[in-house]
Amino acid sequence: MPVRADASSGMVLLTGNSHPELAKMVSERLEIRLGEATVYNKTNRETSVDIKQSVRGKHVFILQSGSKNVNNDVMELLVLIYACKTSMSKTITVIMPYLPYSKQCRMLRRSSIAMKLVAEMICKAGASRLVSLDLYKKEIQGFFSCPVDNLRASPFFLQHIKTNIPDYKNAIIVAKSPGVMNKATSYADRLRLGVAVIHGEQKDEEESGLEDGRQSPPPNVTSYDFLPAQESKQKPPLTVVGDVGGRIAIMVDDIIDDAQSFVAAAEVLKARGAYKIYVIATHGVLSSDAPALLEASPITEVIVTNTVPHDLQKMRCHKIKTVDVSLMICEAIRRIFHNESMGQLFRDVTLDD
Amino acid sequence: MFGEIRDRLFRFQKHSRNTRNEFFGTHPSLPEDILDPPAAGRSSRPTESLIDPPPTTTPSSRSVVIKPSETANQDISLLEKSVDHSHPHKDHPIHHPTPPRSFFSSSSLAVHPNVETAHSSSEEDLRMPNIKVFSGSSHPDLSTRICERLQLEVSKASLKKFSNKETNVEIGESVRGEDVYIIQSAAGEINDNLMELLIMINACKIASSCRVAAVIPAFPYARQDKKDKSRAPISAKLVANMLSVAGADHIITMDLHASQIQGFFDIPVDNLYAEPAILKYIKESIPNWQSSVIVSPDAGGAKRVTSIADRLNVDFALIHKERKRANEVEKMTLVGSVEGKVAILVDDMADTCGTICMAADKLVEAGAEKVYAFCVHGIFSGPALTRLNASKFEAVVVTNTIPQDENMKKCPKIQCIDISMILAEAIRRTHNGESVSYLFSHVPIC
Repeated sequence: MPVRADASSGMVLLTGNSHPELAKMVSERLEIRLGEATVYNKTNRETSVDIKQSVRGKHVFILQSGSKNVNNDVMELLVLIYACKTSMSKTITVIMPYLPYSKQCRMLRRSSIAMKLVAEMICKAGASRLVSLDLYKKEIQGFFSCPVDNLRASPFFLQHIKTNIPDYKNAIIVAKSPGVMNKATSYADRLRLGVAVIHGEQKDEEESGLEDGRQSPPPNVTSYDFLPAQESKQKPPLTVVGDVGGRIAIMVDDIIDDAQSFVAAAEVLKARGAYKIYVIATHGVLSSDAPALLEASPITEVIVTNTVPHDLQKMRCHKIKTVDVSLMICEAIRRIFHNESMGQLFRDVTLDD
Repeated sequence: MFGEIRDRLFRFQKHSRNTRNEFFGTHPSLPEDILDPPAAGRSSRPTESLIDPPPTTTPSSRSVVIKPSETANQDISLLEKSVDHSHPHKDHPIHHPTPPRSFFSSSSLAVHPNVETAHSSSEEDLRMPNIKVFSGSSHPDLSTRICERLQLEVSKASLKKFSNKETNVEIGESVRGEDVYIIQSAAGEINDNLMELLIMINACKIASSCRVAAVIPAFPYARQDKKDKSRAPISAKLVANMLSVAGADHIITMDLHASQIQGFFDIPVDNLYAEPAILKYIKESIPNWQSSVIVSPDAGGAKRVTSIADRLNVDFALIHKERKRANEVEKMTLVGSVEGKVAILVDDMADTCGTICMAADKLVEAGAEKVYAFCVHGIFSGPALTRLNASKFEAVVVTNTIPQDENMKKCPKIQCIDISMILAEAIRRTHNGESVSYLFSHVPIC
């Protein structure tokens, strides 16, 4: 029977508007009631937070995930944290399964490192700890000046593969681009499968050859022989390095947002002889017309977790399946609250994952 | 050949004189309206055709007219963007035989190693003012090379240890109002060198230097940049915090282990790449490189390897190591094919070389004709050199971010690419306020 959150349990679970279903599931598992706080946008679109119960001396857990309204989510989170901080809560732990702006974690063409800015803001607002799931790059842990826990969704996915894909022993793990090679090998290790890599002409804006080539002056100044020019990259068409003929191809990645690259990779895999193609992604952001693209592609199934709300997309594409990770979040909250070790949660996690 | 480079450097510097004027106009130690330096006391150099005073009196787009030489035209177009078109002194012809000097600078004259070029180019007029380059004790050879290319002398500082092994740093020249660059690499005794760097930065900072930049070719503790096990520290973040607290305003480094380390700092970080230099070396020194295969010794380097393979337009492969289990030998599988080709292993660090030696064996087994290895940072600790001597490599090529003289003596397979020019160019461009991005795809010659 759910008890009131402040009935001497010392734990308060608050949430913003990004993912109410996940918050409900987590609070049910924890067997406490969601803390009473209203987070809403005023008429002038400013975020307003009203915490209706006492948080003085309590351990506050704020559950907020990235979703379609990224900037609103970030602002809600910051205002919630600060509200709890000024209301004398003991500790504030932020649970953010999908960390927004995590792809902007390095300098690209005179951009800013937005992840660093968000990290600073979260720590400055008063968070004493952050828990996230499958960070885009593990180095993001160093951007925060508070401790960061990077939980993994891989145990859930491995379980799902073993139970739901009947002949998974005849599968091969495919990395959609060389950057995800580490993740692919960690899955391949644990499933005792082979690995393959797809490489070539991809419209990947942020990872193009002009990464740090903030080109000024223009790059083809070949007549000026003081500094000899370097050739540009000549990307071959999409090729698969590794053998996928007659096997099930399982593509692993951390975010599936714009499905274009997955669809292109799936076409190539199909052409090379893979008879079933699965896509496993931790965060199913699935924006714009990704569901339609996936529906029309040779991909058999797309497996995502419920870190990002994607109900609308599920209705439009029947290939999307969800794996529930609220168990892990609940366990993390419980262990943090009781100051227990979190080592059990990382038991089956390899160095590369 | 070095003289040619110097001449071109001078032409470059002359063209950027206006830029420098703008830059130094806001210099704290210079009064705002110093533009025409006093001619007294300066050796008046014979006006060559290179410097013609701009005859134009209208504030047109060209404020510096140089007799067109084939390279000069490009310089103008490059620098036009940086020249301020509303220069107040544009109306009368400007003679700038010497750039404005800081009144408080006590920079001594450089002793020119080559006497005849000293007369012909009068380098004294064209050395960069307001810059001091200090060297830590980790890599004095690299610092000398960098300063040679910058036409400077390494500035004096005494680096000693007290009898209780505490580091003692004394800066031997005035750094008031100067742009200070401290060159220290993570080599040898890393903790001692790191402490020395921090103390030097702090010494320059409290001696009222204008800006202190740390040039760290090999970044210390770069591999401990994430919490990959329980209770593991993120030492790279700690080093970043320490450098910021010591007072560094700018970091210049080369080939960081992960480019996210740039985000650990709140100050600007320039992460230069040795990749253009490596590509140049491959093209010049490896016969039939067009039919080679670039191989990554582990899964994490796949992105680096595909980038190089794309630029050379060759194939790539990678080696996938399966985890050791009970009663199982660690198996290495090759993804891709190297049959009958020259294999080039590329990695960013060569520490104990266990992985790359096993990878070389595997590649030879799989049919590669020859195996080369390219690593940017050649740490070579522990049994690395004995392993390399016994390995199947044709050559192991590293850069001189870490001193390699000793290692090259012990292992004849090791060859060294000199990257001092990339760092020198970065320092020069940072000091002059020019764009550094050109270096990310170009290699300064030799």
